[in-house]
Amino acid sequence: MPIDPKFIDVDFTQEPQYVRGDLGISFTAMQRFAAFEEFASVIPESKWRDEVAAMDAAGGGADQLVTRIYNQKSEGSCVANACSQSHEILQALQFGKDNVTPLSAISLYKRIGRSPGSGAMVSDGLDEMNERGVLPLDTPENRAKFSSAVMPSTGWSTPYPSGWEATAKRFRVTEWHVVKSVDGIITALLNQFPVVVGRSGHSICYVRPMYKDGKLVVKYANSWGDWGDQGYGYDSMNLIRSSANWAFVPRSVTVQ
Amino acid sequence: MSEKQQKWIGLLILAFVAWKVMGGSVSPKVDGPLTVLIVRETGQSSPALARTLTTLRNGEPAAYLAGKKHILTVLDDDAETADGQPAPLLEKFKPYPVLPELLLISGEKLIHREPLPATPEAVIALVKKHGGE
Repeated sequence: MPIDPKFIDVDFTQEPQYVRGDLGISFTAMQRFAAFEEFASVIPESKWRDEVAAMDAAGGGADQLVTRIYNQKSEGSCVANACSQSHEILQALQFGKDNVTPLSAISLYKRIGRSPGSGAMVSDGLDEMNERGVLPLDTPENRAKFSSAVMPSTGWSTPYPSGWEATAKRFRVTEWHVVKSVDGIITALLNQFPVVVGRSGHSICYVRPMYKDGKLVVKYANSWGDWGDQGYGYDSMNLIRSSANWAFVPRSVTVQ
Repeated sequence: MSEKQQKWIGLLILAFVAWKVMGGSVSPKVDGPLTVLIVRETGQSSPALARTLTTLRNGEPAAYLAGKKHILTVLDDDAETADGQPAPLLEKFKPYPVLPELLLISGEKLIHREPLPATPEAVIALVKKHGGE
């Protein structure tokens, strides 16, 4: 499907009706987290076009594992939304799209933000996803499975249900890396891992490399509901490079 | 042994040899849904492996598995439970000397394991060979 140019390189700072909230990465995080590039075999740029063509022929990348688009509404919870989106993508891969437990981004954001609009650091989001996890979204299906240990998608003032920790730790990220380069980001995406990035003060989840008019772009899942191309946008190389300042690749989530 | 019996035994031997030549296996097929477990090291992924896994989650392969109620699970070889313990399904069938590996499990019983075939079509063919048609 052709990409509408208006969805490429969207300047988030020029979207006043939507809220951002990415505060970057903590000073020590880049040293604390293991670098993806040190573990993976980085795919050189000379091979990207062939690999993307193979991905296209197979029907797509991690975008095929996205089961819904998040909507942070008026809260600065983009980091929690992008982190939760990446978790759901890994759930879809590991357990199947029909078995994905939708997650409550606010259950994560309340631990990494300071106020409804403060925003949060991506590194804090990954730390919390690893250490304490995320609660399921408040849906009838999740209530049937997890009783009251669920939360809505938004609502800073929503209290945590009693005993929430036991359920949240069932939805942790157990393996992840920090990515330090454009080559690392593209390699991760060719390996169909979601990549949580931040740019222009907004966090998004990269899901697929593509070529548009001969130039590489990366498709991302945003958390602004039915924004852009049915919830998705596309970054070209300049913005991918900007995103490479702090990016994370979650690789595995807990087994239920 | 009568001449007729000898003829029948000869035919059976011929049929068996032909079946083996065509790639048959002595493993019996099992009835009912299988657990199709793929174990991998996520730190050693590749684009080709990723395409195989994602294709198994979409389109015809996913529809086939769902239609037969086979359960496909893809796990890192270090996958953990909520409590940080090794995933029981992995523990049951370890070690995994060659990754990625495909295991076909019926109930609690391992019925087949081999290095993960290179394509989703080959994975589905193995499932059909050992279980659902």
